[in-house]
Amino acid sequence: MKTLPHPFLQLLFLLTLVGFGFWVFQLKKRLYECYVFVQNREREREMTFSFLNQIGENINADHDLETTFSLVLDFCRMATKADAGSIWVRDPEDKTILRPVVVQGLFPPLHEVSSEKLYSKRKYVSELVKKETVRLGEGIIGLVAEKGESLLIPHAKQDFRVPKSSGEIVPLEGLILVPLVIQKEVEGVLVLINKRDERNPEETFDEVDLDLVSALADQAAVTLNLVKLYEQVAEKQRIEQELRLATEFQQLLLPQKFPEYSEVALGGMSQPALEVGGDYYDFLPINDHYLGFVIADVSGKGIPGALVMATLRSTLRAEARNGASPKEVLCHVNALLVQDTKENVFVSVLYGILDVYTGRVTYCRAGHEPLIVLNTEQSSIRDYEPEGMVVGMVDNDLFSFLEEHTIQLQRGETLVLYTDGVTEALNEAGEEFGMERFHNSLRQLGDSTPQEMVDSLEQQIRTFSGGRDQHDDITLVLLTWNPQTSVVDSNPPPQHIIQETRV
Amino acid sequence: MKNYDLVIHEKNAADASQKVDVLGCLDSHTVVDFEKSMQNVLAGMPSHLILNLSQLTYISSAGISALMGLTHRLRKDNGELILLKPSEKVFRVFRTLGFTAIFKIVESDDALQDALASRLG
Repeated sequence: MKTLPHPFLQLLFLLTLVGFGFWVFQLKKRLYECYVFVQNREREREMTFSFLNQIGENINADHDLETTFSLVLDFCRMATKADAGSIWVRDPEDKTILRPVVVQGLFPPLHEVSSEKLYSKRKYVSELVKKETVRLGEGIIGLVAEKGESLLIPHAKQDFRVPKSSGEIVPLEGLILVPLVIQKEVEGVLVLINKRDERNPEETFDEVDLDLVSALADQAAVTLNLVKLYEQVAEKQRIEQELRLATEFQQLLLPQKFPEYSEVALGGMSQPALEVGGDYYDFLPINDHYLGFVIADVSGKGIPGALVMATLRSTLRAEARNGASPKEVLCHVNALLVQDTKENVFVSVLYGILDVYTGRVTYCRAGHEPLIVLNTEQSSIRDYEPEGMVVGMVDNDLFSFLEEHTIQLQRGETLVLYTDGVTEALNEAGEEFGMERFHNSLRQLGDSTPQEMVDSLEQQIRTFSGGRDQHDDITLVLLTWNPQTSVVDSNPPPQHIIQETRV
Repeated sequence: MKNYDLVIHEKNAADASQKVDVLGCLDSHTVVDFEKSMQNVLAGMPSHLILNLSQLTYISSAGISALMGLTHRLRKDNGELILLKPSEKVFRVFRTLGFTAIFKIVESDDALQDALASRLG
């Protein structure tokens, strides 16, 4: 017959059994914790990868900050089951202020606000926050921005840093605040409030949530930096694209083909610079007897300059056909542009009409470079600078002081019109081509067609500039009057209109 | 890089006018800095702004646009932009464009005092 072991041994066995059970329980608990830890890390890893993929697609498709941050906040709320959230970034103009870029859910102000705001209806709360700003150090958002350290507040009601007023607007339970740090600078703060887990209503934010949000916030900060860089590059590309389009547009406004008159030979060129656009020239055939010609320089660059140029072109073309005098045409153009252009955009214009039978030229100089008459036979030049101010700057009360001037060409003489890009072209030593060099170049042109003269002058300017970039548009227009003898003799110019003023 | 600089003098306590020396080149490259500095100067609410242009070597249409903007802003508050002693080259640009009819240009310090006295008197 078996006898029971000694009671001490029985007790020892029992204790060993309990101890083993406890050890198994502890082991299981530890294993579960490890499992949860691994699961959380796995979840964190998955969320981060998924987030990066989405953000990457988002940056390619639509790179504005608000859209990107909405996505970041969506992910953070999904990962932590947060009820509401917001992302605040520093104001680019005043770095001491933070503004909300995105606000999702019922999100109350987390700093002291005026009492009337406290009575805002709940549905307007988020709208209220979108208009708020916080200073560095102000409220808990300002505090996190100032210190650059994350804050986990599992029980907001018991935390002195959370203003009571915030809880009165929206009951607050838990908060997570994480700084967005770029190159050691806090550029923003990500805030999440109130965990909502239907299976576990008592649960609030914990360290795992904070780790997860911190990981996403790191990526969000990198994204913020990327978006900023992307925006800078996109802005640069946009400006370059605009300038390229404006240049192409301006080229379309220039005459593609010159009108043909047996008494006048024509030449012209306009070479736009990338940075400063706005030169324009045109020949306007009025009828067999009269030929209009114009040169202009718009002060604005890019698309606005090109639009002003287009207005000028269409108005001039319409008015010139009606046979209006240069002064009438320019006063009309001025009245239109004064209304339509910004107060600091102006155009210098020289518009004239050549009587192709008599060689009589009537013109106005609205703030443009002087009109030059070149006599290649005598190697001499005359220039004319009657009174007149730029178009688009003042009302016609003042603009109409514009002087209309008439000169008489001799057979074979050439009218020379140019923009300041010619005389202000710079060489590598920083010297200007200048008026004197331009006059000398004109005198040495010899007997050739206007287009050959234009090409020769352009080449001389290029040679002078060497490798230096062209900083302003260069435009040259030449008209040589070469009438048939019989026509001129039958149309002698009336002497009273010849008012040459040698300068 | 083109040379450009500003010397902003103390506001005149007697007539609240402000004098600024503009040096070098005022073109599309330098005009952005110029306009920012002028914004700060105008924030001090000077009665008149005197730009000493005696050392301004070049002005482009962008520079003239900026001066035109200043003229408009000062005139809105009954003030005036006074351009003091522009060089021959700069004056020629003003004349060619017809801006001598718009800008208040004075050729000497005495003329400046007369202009201020008549504006403030």
